[in-house]
Amino acid sequence: MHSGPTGSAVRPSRAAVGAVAFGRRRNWSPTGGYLGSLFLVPTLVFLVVLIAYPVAYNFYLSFQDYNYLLGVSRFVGPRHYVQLLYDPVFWRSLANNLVWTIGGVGGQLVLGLAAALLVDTPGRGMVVVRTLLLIPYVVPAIATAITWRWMFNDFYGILSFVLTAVGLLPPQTSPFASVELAMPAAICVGIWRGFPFAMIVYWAALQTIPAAEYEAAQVDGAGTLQEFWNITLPHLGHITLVLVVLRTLWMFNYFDLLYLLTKGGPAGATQHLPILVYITSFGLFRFGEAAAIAGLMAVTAGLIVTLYVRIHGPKEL
Amino acid sequence: MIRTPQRQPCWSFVLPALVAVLIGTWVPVAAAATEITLWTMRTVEAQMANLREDVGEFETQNPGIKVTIEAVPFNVVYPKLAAAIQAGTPPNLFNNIEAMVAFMHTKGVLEPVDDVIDGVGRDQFTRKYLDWVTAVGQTWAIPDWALHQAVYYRKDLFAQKRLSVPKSWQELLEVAKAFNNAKDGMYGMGVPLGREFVGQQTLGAVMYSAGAYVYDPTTRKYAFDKNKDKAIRALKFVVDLYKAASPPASIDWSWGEYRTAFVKEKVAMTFEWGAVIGQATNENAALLDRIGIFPVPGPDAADYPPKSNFGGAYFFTVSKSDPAKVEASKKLLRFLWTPDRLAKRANTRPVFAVPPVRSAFESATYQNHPVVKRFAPELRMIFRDVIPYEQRHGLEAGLNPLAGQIESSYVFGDAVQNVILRNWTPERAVDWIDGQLQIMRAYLEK
Repeated sequence: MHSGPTGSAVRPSRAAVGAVAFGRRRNWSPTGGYLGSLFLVPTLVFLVVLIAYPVAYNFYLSFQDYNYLLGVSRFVGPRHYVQLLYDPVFWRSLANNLVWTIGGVGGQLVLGLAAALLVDTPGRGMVVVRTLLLIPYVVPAIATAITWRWMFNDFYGILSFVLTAVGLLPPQTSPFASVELAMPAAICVGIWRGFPFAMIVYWAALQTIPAAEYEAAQVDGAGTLQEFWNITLPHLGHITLVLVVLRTLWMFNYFDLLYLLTKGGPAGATQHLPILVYITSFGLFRFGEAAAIAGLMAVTAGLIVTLYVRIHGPKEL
Repeated sequence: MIRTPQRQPCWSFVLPALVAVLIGTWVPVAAAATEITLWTMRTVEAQMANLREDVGEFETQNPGIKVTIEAVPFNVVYPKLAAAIQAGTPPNLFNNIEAMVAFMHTKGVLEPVDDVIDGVGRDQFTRKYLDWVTAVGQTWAIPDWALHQAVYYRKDLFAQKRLSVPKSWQELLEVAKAFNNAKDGMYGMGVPLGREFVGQQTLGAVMYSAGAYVYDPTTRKYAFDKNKDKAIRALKFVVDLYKAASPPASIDWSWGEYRTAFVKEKVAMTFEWGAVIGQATNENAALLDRIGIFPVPGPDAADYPPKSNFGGAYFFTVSKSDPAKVEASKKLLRFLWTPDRLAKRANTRPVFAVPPVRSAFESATYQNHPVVKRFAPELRMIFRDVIPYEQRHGLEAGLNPLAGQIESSYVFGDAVQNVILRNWTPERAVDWIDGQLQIMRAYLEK
């Protein structure tokens, strides 16, 4: 911004901005184009080094048969991609990934909204409740995994005990030892871990709903459920879409929690694509194949989000 | 009259600063220490404290050498080491397990340590461990801890039922069944089959007791395809034992779970490496006098104890670097490999860790440790009947890339889990293991 005759800041005129934009008066002055462009350099360097290069290198690697152990690499074209399309382990991992993502995102949004409605109610203790509800989001993944594994332990786990008591689990066993129950149990942990994010976002969105709308509804005799259905939910539609997109991308790529909980077992029941990438790269050292899986993961995640936004999303998103 | 402050000539600041900088840079150069890094996969505080103490003493005696110690847990070791090797900065010294030695040797970053081993006395070492880390006539790591896998059992329960130590698979199965007690929630045998490491170790213990090698120890050629019948028989036995006498959730158990089950008296026996003794000391000391140890039996009682079993060891490796750092690293190894220091290191996890050097095993420092004393007969039996006959997947042929890869993949764990949970037949599972091993071999030989 310019400093005016009185020393106060004034905005440059539109003409000046336009002139700079068209390069007619590029110079090193504070309003000059060169200086402005220079400020972009750190961001561009950051984007190129930390995003563009790794993505491009992953793409390059996926066309190589890269033997990391022996340090040998050779071009194999799209072979890895073709092999993956015929690999049942890949498809099962993708299916697990979708279950993990859909279950996790759905649960986080529902629990997050419920928690947001709770903390939005007036009350003295709500500050404490809000703080407590944020804890799952700040606890390290390793602590979360160890704690939940013990809660699901076959002999001493309180949750295994409860599940057994209500008839959902045979006595003295753990959901993590069952092909059918391991993924639902892991999803519960994922929901617990991620719902505070949805809670905070929903809670912020709830503050923006005009109180007048609720007052008008009350005058018309609407009940709490009707208010929620006809006022609250419509106002949260846009933020829900944003949350779905963000959490889908997050959960789809979320590696550490599931790996620490189950290692992808038992018998591959919770092995999703990020774990498959890890095992292929740091277990089998086949970095080319791992890069191809990572590439297909990116494409799949992109497709899911695009599809969702196309179907449900406002155009401005 | 007001005096304006006299301006100091700039050289009056610059000159002292210049002198200070020159002194500051000259002094470190003149007294530059050789700095070496030491990574260790041991993360228990007692082990780290012992290592720090020894290294501190070494640094005092060798003021020209500075050692930086870093703990590297199991679950991050491959990514961390791969990144360090890629960056050209592997640790100068690495206290690791045999799979890491194979990995680093394949990557060509290791220095041979024959001179250090010969200095200690090659004949003092457990021969098997040296074989595991030998390739092209050179030894690429020095054994630090001998580990063993055996069956840890409750002597008091055996006495109550008047049972003797089983000497064959069938006897083990019968004994395990005898301890099942639904009323008390007690199981006969902990058969841990977690996907990562533990499943492979349990299956390995039984497979090796039947002689189902990956490589033929004599010819050093790939032999798993010829040992499939033995492997199928071993896998069937593991599944039978699991179904008959192990808690259902042990399909997912790792070390922590089965040790806790044993210490909390929920299983009468378990496959184990000895760390359960430390856990029992902390959590149920009354149990210590009731714990016994016997070698994992093989298929036939006549061959007991079997002349082949699954084991492991910890090693130290030296990475290639400039000569001063390599020499400093080897100097530290020579310092650490006295019988007394070896014994003290093993005593930081008594029974779990056994000195791999005979003079250290026989030393007063080792034998007089209270826990070692308590289990003296069992430890002598392990040193005599178990450790010399240990095998590890892929290392039967000495140091080779496949060994590291078997450890880092989940092939054996997945196979046994699929038999139990997805109704694979043992034949299919063993064929699958063979197929995966062949793919790994072909990939490495390409």
